[in-house]
Amino acid sequence: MGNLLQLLLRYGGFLLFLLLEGICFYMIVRYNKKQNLIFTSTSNIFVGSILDQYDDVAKFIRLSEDVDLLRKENARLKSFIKTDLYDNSYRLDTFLGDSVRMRYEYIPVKVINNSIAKKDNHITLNKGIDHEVQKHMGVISNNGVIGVVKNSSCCFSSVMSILHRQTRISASIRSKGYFGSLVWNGENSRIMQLNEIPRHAIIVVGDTVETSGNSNLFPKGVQIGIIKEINRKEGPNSYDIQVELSNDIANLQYGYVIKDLMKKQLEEAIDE
Amino acid sequence: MSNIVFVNILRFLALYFLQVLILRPASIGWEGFFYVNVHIYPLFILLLPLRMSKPAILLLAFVMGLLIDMFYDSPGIHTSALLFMAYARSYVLSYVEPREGYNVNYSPTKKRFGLNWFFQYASILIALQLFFYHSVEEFTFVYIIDILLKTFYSYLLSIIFIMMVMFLFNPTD
Repeated sequence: MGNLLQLLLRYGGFLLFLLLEGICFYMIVRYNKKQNLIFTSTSNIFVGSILDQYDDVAKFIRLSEDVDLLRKENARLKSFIKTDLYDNSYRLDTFLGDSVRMRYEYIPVKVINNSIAKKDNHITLNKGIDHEVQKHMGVISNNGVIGVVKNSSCCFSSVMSILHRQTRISASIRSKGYFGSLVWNGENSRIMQLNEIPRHAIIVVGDTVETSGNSNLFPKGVQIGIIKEINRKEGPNSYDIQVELSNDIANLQYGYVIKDLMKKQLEEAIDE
Repeated sequence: MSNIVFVNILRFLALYFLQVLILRPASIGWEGFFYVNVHIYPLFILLLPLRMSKPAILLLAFVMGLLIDMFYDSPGIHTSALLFMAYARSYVLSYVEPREGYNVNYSPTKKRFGLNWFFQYASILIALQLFFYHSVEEFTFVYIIDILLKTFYSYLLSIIFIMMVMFLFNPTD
C-alpha cells in the first residue's frame, strides 16, 4: 500500500494526465460527429483485420480435420471412377443401372512409419483388420503407387513398399498397352525399373507408366511414373527401362488402401 | 500570496472571455477558411506560478479546456490539447532553464525572465498546443499537410496576440 502511494506521488502528474486525456478522448469520439465517424470506421478496420487473422489461425487449426474429411470424400468418389467399375453388361440393351457394378473400394489411411534408406523398405499404416485392411491389398497415394499390404493386425498394417527388391508390380505404358513388371534395384528411391517390355514396342522417353489392371491389387490406370531412360540390352528380347516415380515415397503422409470387392469371384474363376 | 491567486483568477476570466467572445467569432467569420484559429487562452497556463504542482496545473487546464469547448461546441478537443500543453510545461521549463536557475516564487513572465526567454518558452508550448489541437481536430494524419499548415498560420497569429498582451500589461506575476 505504501509502495502504491509512493508510486502515485511520483507519477501522479503523469497518471492524472493520462486519466484526463482519457476523459477528453472519450468526449471527443462520443460527442463530435466527424471524430466519431473516423474513430468508428478506423476501429472497424482494425477489429476486422484482427478477426481476419484469428479466422486464418482457426482455419489452420481445423486443417487436419478438414484433410481427414476430404480424404474420406475422395475415397468415396474414387470408387465411382469408370476404370474402377466392373462392366456388368452383356447385351446391347442392358439396363443402364445394371450395366456396372462397383469393383473397388478405397479406405483412407495415414502413414505412421516409413523408410527409404534400406534395400527392402516397409511402411506402417494406421488402419488394420478392423477397418477391413487385409493382406494382399494394394496401397496408393494421390499421385502414385505405395505398395502392397503384407500383414495386418487389428489396428495397424504393414506394407511392402514399392521400394523393396521383391516388389513385382504389373505395369503398362499408357495408351500403348504393352505391359511388364516394375521392380526396384535398391539404389535410387525415385527410380524403378520396368522389365519385360518387348523390343518391338515403340516407346519414347516421357511416356506415362501406369498400373495394368492385370492383377487385382490395383485398378487399371493408376499412374506410377514416366519413362526416364530406355536402354537396349544385348541379350534378352526386351528393353531395360528406367521409370521416374510420380510420387515421392520419402514424404508420404496419406494414402488409400484398395479393397477389391470381387476378389473372391476372380480367384474362384482362376482356380478352376 | 493572495495577490497571485487573485491575479490568476482575473487572468483566467479575462483570457477566457477574450477567447470565446472576440476571437472565436473572428476565426469562424471567414467562411471556408479555417486555417486561422487564434488561441490566446493557453497564456493562462503559461503564466501560472513556477512552484505550482503538476496535478494542479493539469486540473486547471482541464477546467479551462472544458469551458472553452462549451463555446466552441467541440467537447474534448481544446481540452486535450491544453492538457497536453500543461503536461509538457514542466519539461519545456527545464529545457529553456536559464543558467542561474529559477526562483520558484516567480511566475514565468516576460518581466521576470526577459523577452528572449519568454518568447522561446511561449513559442514552444503554443506550437505544441496548436499542433495537438489541429491533429485532434482532423483526427487523422492522412491530412498531415493540412494539419501543419493550419498549425503554422494559427501559430503566427496566436504568438503575435500573446506577445501583444504581454507588452500591453507586462505582468510581474
